[in-house]
Amino acid sequence: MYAYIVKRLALVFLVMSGVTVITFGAMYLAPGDPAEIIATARYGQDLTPGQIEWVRSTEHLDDPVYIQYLTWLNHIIRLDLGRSLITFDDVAEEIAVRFPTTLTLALASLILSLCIGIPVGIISALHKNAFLDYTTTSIALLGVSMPNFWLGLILIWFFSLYLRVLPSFGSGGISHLILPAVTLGASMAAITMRLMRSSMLDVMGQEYIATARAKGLDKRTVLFRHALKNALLPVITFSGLQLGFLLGGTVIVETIFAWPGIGKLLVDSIYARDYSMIQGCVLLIGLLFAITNLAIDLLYASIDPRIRYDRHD
Amino acid sequence: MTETNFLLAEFCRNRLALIGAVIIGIIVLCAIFAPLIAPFDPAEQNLRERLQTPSIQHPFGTDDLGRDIFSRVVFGSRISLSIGICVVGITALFGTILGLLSGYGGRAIDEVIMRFVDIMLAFPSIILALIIAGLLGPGVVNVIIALSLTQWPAYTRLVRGMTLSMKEKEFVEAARALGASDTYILRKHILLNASNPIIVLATMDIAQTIIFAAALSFLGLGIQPPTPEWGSMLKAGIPYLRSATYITFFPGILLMLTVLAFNFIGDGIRDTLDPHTKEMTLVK
Repeated sequence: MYAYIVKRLALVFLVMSGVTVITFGAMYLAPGDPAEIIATARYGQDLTPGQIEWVRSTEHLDDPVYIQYLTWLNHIIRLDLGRSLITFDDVAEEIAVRFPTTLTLALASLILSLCIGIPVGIISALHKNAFLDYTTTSIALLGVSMPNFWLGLILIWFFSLYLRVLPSFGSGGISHLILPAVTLGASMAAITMRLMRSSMLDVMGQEYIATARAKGLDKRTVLFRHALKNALLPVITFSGLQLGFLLGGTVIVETIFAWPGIGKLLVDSIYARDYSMIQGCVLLIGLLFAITNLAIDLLYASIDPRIRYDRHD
Repeated sequence: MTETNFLLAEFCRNRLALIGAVIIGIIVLCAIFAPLIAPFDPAEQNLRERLQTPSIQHPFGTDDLGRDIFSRVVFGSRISLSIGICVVGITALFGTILGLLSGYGGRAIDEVIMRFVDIMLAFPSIILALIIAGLLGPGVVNVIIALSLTQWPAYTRLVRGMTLSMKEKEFVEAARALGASDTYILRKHILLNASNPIIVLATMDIAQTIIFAAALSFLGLGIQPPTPEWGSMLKAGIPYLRSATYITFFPGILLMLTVLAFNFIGDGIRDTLDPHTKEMTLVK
């Protein structure tokens, strides 16, 4: 087990190093002179050469690339993410303020999708190939195929503009959370439902279920004591892995609903070409993702010993 | 030939897959014959007829600049389909090559490629695509670049896994013993056996790519107006969401139908080619 943990930690370290290289390197994808781009973002279109040169020297853009990277790396290791190129706000502080808002939205969507996906998946599996099963699986397929930005707009139209019962933008009480959480959680609920259904069908076909029934246990006991426990395992693991999916979704959902989280911050920073803010957001997302994956892998390895030997060979 | 006929019959027996194929067929025809089908020029503005509700003359209504939404939706199918096909073509090709190299090329190459894949998978791919598209600037080509750079690891992982298990099989050893070259084995044995899952992944990936491309345009980082594109049409309709809901409604429906149809087809192909995984879900 220890060997596996060490191996896995080494991989996280490697991945995070790669993430820093990509994050830093992405800035050089933008066509044009970085100093000029930053100066334009900061001072507007009418630039004097003096302003460009001033940006170049204060942001150390005239150093060789690897020196710039190492300097930057040296700062972020000490959690100094620098300042916004445009508002001069502290990046780490801004992210720390925004992060709980995103986490609230992501967790609300996750809970919502589990609360819908698991029961519906079970019901669907128990009525396999009946009308109820066809209806729910069709709705689920519709849910998987529905782009969340379109769903969001339709929900705003119906609940905020037509019925006028829910607010369409901003954050505040529970009422602000409902529409964004439904928008973000819908497709995940659909995926969870499909996974729960197939997992349930898989378990129900196992011999130990037939044995339990054969020894005279009633249907309900078999269902809840024997089948459900085993069928839930892959669904729960998968939900953990879906954090990345949720983080990706927040970018769009937060923009539609003006939800002041990391996703909206990232999109706004891309519009403004605020490189240090973009880098901060991407690093956070990469780190979160790496840590979740690590946690799931370790959890899995502790449950199922085979994984420790099978993987990464 | 009989095998192909058999598979085709099997595919057609799957009603949903058949519906999907019909929908895609119609949309492809719309894209090819767009100038013949669309009653108006998709970019032509007519301010006198702005914000008209759906009618016989304008089946989907007109937008805030008086452009015919039906014509724009028809022309929009060209953009979405070509981006989907281009990106999936590029990523499937390069992802597969990297996967073959990784699985067959020995430990060092495998290690390098797979760690690179790990790094790529450390971000939700839409976020990386968003940043690349944002930095490159708007436009069809830049959207294709952004999505191609971020969508390939799924193929590499899949093909590597297949290659690793395949190269230990007896028929590969037999081929090697008979003196077959590595490229022959890769081409004739491994790739041929890995092609079914690649086709299934690619079909579903077209759906995913079309959504991602529309999402980029919706956020204003992809295809910009006046080019008719479903995602940017949705964005343009937001200010009129209350008074003229049809502006956002129709492009969204088309987007959803296209994605749904590709998912139906993907499901159908998988069930036809591999009956064992009939219960497997649409989880990547």
